[in-house]
Amino acid sequence: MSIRLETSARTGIDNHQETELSAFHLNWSRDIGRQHPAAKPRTAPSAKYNCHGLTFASRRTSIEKSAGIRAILSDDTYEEVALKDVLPGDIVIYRSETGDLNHSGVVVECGNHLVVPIVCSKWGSAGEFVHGLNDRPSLYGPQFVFYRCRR
Amino acid sequence: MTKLTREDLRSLARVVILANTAPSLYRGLLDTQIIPLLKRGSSVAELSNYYDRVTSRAKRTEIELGIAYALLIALLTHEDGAPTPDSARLKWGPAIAELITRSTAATQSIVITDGPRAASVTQEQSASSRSSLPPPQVGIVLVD
Repeated sequence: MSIRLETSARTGIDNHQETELSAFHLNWSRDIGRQHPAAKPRTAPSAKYNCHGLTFASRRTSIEKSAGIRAILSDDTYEEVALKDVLPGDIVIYRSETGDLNHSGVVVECGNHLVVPIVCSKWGSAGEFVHGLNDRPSLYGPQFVFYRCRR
Repeated sequence: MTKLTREDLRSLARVVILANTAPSLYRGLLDTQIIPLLKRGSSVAELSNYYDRVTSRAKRTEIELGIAYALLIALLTHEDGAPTPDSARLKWGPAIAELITRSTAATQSIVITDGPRAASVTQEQSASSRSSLPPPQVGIVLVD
């Protein structure tokens, strides 16, 4: 199932809503928290939305294709921000070496008192976590870029 | 027969739960080192058979999904010319197949074989009565 989702230039964005979580899933989600003890779980597991759904669609659905994220970044006039200029509310996108946009989140805290910004992001269907920039599953990719909407 | 430990199965489930996108699932499964295990421990025909069995079920657990995707990747990247599996049986199957095609086309690969495949091992009973994990799939043996 999907919802109607568009950029500000009315470009349609492919999206998908799952609803079911198995009992196994809920068990495994607890295991994930143990792998990253410094990351704070913020919500219960949910299959309805993924990381990009949190960042760009207000938790309403999952956006899975890099092309959709690129359309949002372009049409909605997001611009890159250097790490030293990052502010709360900026977004971060994690990329693979081949340029796939595998993960995204919202910066919630940054500043001189922190080594790296703190990010809120959705880890697959495991729930939202508040975590240091680099304290996240490695499968999301080694690279990250910050963006700010300039509208 | 491919031997997978409990930790192998846990890592498969973890990847399935954490993946936000097809490329992240693909990367996560490659990082588990289970795909080389599958290729070494089972023949192409066995892998293909396992894939057909796992993907024929409408409802799958996270472990079964992880195994199914791992089998798909093993078949699509197999050096022995495996028959092309039906990637559309899995939600992200076609996207992963495209990723593999893209990466194969972009790089010139040198295939290094690691010698004769290990002989089939005798079946071991899984410890499912003491384990909270589901029983292993046919052809994949759970070992402690």
